[in-house]
Amino acid sequence: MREPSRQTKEALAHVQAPWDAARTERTLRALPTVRRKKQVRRAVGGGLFAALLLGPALWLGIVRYDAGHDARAAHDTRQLRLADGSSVALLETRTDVAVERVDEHLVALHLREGRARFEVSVRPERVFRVRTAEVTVEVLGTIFDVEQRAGRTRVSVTRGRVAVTWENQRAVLVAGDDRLFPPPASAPEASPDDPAPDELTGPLGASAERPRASAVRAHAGETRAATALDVARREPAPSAAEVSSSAPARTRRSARTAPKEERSEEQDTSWRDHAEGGDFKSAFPLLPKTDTMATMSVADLMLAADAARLSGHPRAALPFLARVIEVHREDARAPLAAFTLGGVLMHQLGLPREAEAAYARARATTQSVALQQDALARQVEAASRAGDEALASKLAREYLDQYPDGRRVNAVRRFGRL
Amino acid sequence: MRDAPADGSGESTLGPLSLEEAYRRFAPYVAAIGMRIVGRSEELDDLVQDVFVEATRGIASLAAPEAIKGWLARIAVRTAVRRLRRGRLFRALHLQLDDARDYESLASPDATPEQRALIARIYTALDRLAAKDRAAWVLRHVQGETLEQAAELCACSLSTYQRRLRRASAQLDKELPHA
Repeated sequence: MREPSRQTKEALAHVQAPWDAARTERTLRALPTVRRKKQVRRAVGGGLFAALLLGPALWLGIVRYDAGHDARAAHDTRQLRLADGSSVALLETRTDVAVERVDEHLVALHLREGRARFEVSVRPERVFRVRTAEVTVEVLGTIFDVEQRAGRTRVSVTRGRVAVTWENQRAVLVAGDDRLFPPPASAPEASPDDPAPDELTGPLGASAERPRASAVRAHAGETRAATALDVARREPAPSAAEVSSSAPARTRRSARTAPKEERSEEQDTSWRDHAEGGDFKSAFPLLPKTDTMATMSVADLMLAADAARLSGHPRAALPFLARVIEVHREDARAPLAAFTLGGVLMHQLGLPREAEAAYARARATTQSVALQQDALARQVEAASRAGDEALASKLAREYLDQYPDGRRVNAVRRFGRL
Repeated sequence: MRDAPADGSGESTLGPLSLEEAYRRFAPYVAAIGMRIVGRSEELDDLVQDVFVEATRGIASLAAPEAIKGWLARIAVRTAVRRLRRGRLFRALHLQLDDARDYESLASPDATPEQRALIARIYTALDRLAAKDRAAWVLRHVQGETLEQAAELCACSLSTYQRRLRRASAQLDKELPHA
């Protein structure tokens, strides 16, 4: 038996597990679900064994997981097949579906967590019902997705019709519909780096669906913004190395979403489904590469940037934002991209000097008074964090002159040392 | 010692530690063993979770709770071997959906390109070994365990372990004569 050579030993010393505290926390959070699923699997295994012994009498009993069930790490989708011919695709690792009843009159499932697609066989005499914490969905022959997340349930219908009931209310969804239940009382929550929601209802708007060409106003900020863009340009788009190993199954593109002319159809679009659903961690590994950015619409570039920065990959967001700012500078969303870039640089990457330039650019190019005000306040903060007290003080005075009753007065005074 | 119920229904303890404490402290160690044996980062989450789930079920049988690290390591080796066998079976049945191997990514960022390439060659050769032989070789030459420790982790006698190690080394000598 020969010992490995010194060279081999040295090489093998470099074998390491890509494991860090974040991965520990992420997998720890999922541990209860894994335990529960293992218990279910053991129970199902025992049941199947019993069913084999008892013969076909238990044909109503649930079923089988497909061969991919154990290959959770692989990019597959787990399938639950019901005795009535319907099937449930568990679209996320965390998806937890309990089968409450399967008989000739009623199939009742409980989606406790995650996202699943239900493909229901047509049987007029039988009711197919899926409940979550918030809603109950009833169908007759259809394909639809249900996602339970953070106190809300998203229902997307691919084919047929479904009835959704919640809190004594009822809505009928048809193919192509994609809605959140209970319906949101207000606009979606903005991320910490985005302007406050009320600002986003201004001329720029947070919604990427409202492009409006804006005249670019000359401003001193244009020059300083180059430093922020330099940082952004240097960053590559997400590489294979950054891609998480736990990427979920690629899903069918849903019928919802932004206008078709906004889309770049040649590319894989499954990342968009995840991102639009708020599942940025799943979206990030699927993001398009840098060399395809030229074909991406502004809406997609902004969404890709969100998927990167909100999934904990701020550097990967930079090229997408830089492209909007530079190439689509006439687009109404370019200032918003600059503002977002400022947030990424200051709060996530610790580059306040570059962030200050990005905020200056946002302020110089937007027509939204709300965004101008907010960008100026953030400029003060960024200048202060960068140690440029003179600039911070100057900008703070400018803010107080223009917006004496502005809602960031206190923060501006603090950072401007006034 | 707070034992978990035999049915594993729930209590989040691992001997003297809560499950969370044990997980935070030992998950990186378990991951390192699993990664070195299996060689696939994408299986790591499942593997580590499986180890801890199994550990919570079997902790009652652990005579000395302070030996939890070794206990987890043994489960990690067993789980990794099981995954290797299952992967092989799935491939044989054409059920493996994602069979791409990127063993160069096993190397730490400071490894040279030559070292990365060598690691990839070794792990590709290890793919052709029996799972238990592979684990035996990895524990000795990658994990750096002594013969006795490695035998204990493999839950076999020293002579059995040495037999596996000899078999693995002989096979690797044939495939990588200069390594």
